[in-house]
Amino acid sequence: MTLVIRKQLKSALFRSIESRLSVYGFTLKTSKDSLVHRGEDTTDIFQLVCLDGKPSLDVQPNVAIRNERVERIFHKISGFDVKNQSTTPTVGGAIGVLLTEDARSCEFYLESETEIMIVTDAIVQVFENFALPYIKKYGSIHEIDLELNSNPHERSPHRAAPWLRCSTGIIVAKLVGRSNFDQLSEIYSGIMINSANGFYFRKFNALLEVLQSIDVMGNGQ
Amino acid sequence: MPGVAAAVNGLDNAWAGLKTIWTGEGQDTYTQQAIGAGVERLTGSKTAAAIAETTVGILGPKGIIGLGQATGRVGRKLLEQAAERLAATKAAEQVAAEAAEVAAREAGEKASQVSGTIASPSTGAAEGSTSTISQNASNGRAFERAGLDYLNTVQTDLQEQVSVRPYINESGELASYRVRLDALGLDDSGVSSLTDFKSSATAGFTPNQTTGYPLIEQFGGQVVGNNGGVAFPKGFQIPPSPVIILRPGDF
Repeated sequence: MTLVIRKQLKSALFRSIESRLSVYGFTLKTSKDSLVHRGEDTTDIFQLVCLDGKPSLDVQPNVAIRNERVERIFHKISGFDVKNQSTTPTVGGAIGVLLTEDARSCEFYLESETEIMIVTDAIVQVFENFALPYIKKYGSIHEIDLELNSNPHERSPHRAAPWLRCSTGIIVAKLVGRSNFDQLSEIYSGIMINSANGFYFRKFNALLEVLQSIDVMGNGQ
Repeated sequence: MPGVAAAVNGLDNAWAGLKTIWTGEGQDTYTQQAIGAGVERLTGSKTAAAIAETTVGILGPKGIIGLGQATGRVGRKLLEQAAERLAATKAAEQVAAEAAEVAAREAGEKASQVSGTIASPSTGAAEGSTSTISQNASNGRAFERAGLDYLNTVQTDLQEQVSVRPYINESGELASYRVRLDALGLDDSGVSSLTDFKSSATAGFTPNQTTGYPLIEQFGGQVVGNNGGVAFPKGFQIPPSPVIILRPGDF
């Protein structure tokens, strides 16, 4: 399969899936390989990571929620280029990782145009049975708080990288008014000092400073 | 239905599940329950779990295998994936060899895909010659998959084929080019781990890899493109990290 054919297949697959997910209010964002649904303060993201399966196109669905308030705070210090800031997820992951710790456990193979409908059907089923319930659950910032901040020492597949997990966790803790915010700050600071030789620690400290001027949700923020 | 089959395969993630995929026998209830449990853990919803169990009940392994056998190529994909899972349970030296064997067996069939024709389901035979390029690609992909099986035992949150632009200095200036890592994951300390699979003892580096890998080790880099998925989104900053090169025999 040539690169051109793979691109054509990918394009056709995305169009096919979009036609099925439009009923849920999802629209295609081609540049992000995603179908998104924008709400008032959240964006639901169903991303299809497309890999070169040599010769097939291997498609791995991801699901995510973007909470605009959380991301606005994060990008005050994130260092992400402005062009990338508007689409960063708040929680989520590859559906295969969320279910079985292996992204390939939820993967679709596409080799020819004749398979588009059958692969579309399968992906839509994953969307309906896995992604939609996930989106419903983590559309609530309180659920995100519970997931990230109930066990701050433990890894969360919903926010894998420690830097993203700690920063998102502490922002959410502030927004929901967690009583143990200071304790969480200490725990996450410790993780940031020890992770990747402190590569992210300076940014995390800057985040803590930013959070000093942020009020709990519902207080004008 | 290859995707659903893949989900079933991963949820079982064990010999029992592998046997189900391979033979189409037994463990349907087990698979449905595993799917349901996974969905419930994911969503906290017993309703969603029940829906998922029902879905697998309708489309589950036997149905999928039947469909696969009917269409030929879909069945072959299932077998290919099952073979990869099987390889993961074998001794480290055997993994690469078996994957290469699978790739070689499939190469004839895949050659017809490259040329735009479809192999006959009844014979599975390719009609056309296998080019060296497509065979090398198949071998490389098979080795990648075997390597990912290995990495899944020592890392989490693995993403494949992730492109990274190296930083060229400590101030965070980006190189004008990118390199494509075969895998980006997290080690047990949560530290980014970067891997490049080389499917032979002599496979070399591209010019970008030659200059880019040392830069990533010294200064780090930034994820570009969408293959980092949700875990490593576009713009994610990777701290200074060595790119680990894995060749046959390394795992």
